[in-house]
Amino acid sequence: MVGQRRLRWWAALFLAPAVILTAVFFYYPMAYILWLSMHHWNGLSPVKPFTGLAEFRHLFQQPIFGLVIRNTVIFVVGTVVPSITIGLGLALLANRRLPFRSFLRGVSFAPYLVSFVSAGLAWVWMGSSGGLFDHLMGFLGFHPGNLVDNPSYALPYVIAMYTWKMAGYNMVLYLAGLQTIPREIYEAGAIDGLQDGWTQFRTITWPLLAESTFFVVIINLIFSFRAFSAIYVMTNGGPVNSTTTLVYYIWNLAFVQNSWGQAAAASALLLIVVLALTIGMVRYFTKESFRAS
Amino acid sequence: MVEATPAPKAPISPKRRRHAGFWRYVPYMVIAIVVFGFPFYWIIVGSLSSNTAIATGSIPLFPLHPRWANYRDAWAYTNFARQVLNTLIMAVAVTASQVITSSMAGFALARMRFPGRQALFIGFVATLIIPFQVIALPIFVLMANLHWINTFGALIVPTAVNAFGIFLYRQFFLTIPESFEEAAMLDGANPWQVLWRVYWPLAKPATVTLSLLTFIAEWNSFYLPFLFTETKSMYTVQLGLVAFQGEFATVYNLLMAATVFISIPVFVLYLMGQRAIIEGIATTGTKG
Repeated sequence: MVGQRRLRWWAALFLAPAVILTAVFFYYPMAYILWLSMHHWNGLSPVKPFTGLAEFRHLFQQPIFGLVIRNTVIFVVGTVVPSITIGLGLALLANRRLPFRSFLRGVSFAPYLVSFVSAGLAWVWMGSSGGLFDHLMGFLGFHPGNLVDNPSYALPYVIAMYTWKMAGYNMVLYLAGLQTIPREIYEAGAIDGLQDGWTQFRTITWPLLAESTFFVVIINLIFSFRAFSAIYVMTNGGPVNSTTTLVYYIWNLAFVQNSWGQAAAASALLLIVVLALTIGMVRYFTKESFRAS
Repeated sequence: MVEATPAPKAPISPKRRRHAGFWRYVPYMVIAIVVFGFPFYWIIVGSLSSNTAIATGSIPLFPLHPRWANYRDAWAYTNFARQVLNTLIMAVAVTASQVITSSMAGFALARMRFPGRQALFIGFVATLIIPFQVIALPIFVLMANLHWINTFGALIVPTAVNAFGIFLYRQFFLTIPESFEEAAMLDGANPWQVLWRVYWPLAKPATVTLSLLTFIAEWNSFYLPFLFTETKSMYTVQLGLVAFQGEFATVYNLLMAATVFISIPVFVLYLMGQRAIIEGIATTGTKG
């Protein structure tokens, strides 16, 4: 047998690659972004003078900043809520012993497999004037023209594409959750008079899916906050900034406007928001499950 | 599973109820299949249409005269062969290094006792909630200082470790009985040999899952190569697709043809490893 002390050396050896890479590519950048958010930098200059919270103040004073926050909130809420709801609906449907259910599963999961670039390009085409959606809406006597060029429709359209792409992923997560619910519970519920589908769902399925829902909400929030490629490919943040979200704005500040200090401040803001939401969700969830038990 | 016994109070037998239920759910099934599936069909139809049909909005619902030449033209118009090669190099290297770093770390976290083990595990898993966009700027500065921009180093090294893989291997190694390890140790094997000769072969399902998910994610990744490459010779397939859009913005038939052939490898991998992919996604949900 290897001695206890030698075993620790082995553990250190096994962990070294992962620890070093994680430190260099996660924890150091996190610290650096917080540091940089308090310094002024144009991306080139060798000096980065300390500016305190001035970069945050400049960021908040940008005329476009309010719009960016509004777009981000609309995008995140507008993608998370429907993609989870539709994903749950698909899971409930695909969990029944219906013919073609594996076909249903495969088809609704397929959008998740293609890249955001591919899906985004396809939706640009389908939303162009004379395209699929133009035709479909034409039946209703409505001609929106090129959807991604219209400031009122561009953001909802990107949200629709994103929801289409993510619903199947949520379906897979919810299917895993549904399969942990024992059939006997429904049978016991039936004896107690829980017959109709909606009552069954409300009193048995939904409470027992709480753990899945918790995870699904967190992961969807994180995914939606980081959505960049769909917006870049479909609208480039436009028209007139109507689809510029926080991550798109970060990229724009750093690589188009060369305002690295403000870009770092915006990144720090994103970090704080994502961390706060996750911690809030974890605390809320642990409190809820305490109450239930 | 055995068919459920009829509940005493059930007004109709389960069999009839299932039948009745079937017709109730048909509309939902049809709507779901059309909403999620039709765009794929439409993309393929578009990729086989003439551009005049697309421009005038008169694409037939079924392509009676498919223009297969669109695929040849789309491939020829840009340098997709080079971009496919770049993407393969990036995806294979990232996948291999994630498998190696994750199985080593997962083994130590599951099978060895040392101070701070729990804290280290949390430290890895916590990275999963950090959006890459938050840390992208410092990594960009780091890559620029190393003169790694526009090299494979920048495409591979920053993603060479992934907490998801560490988590996956740790959970898998925890389920393997300790007697395996003890038997190997008695035969004189050191921990390195125990990991690669005893544990790693047993963890094949975890390796398959991680490899497929990582490869697909790398094939589809956009933001990292978008930031870290400059010249077309270093572009990955997704960047190539965006460049194609830039040059042939409204030549939708060729654009759709390119979109289709860029997506084929992902679907092939999915059909090959469907179970591993679905289970991999599901385990993060049920045990995360």
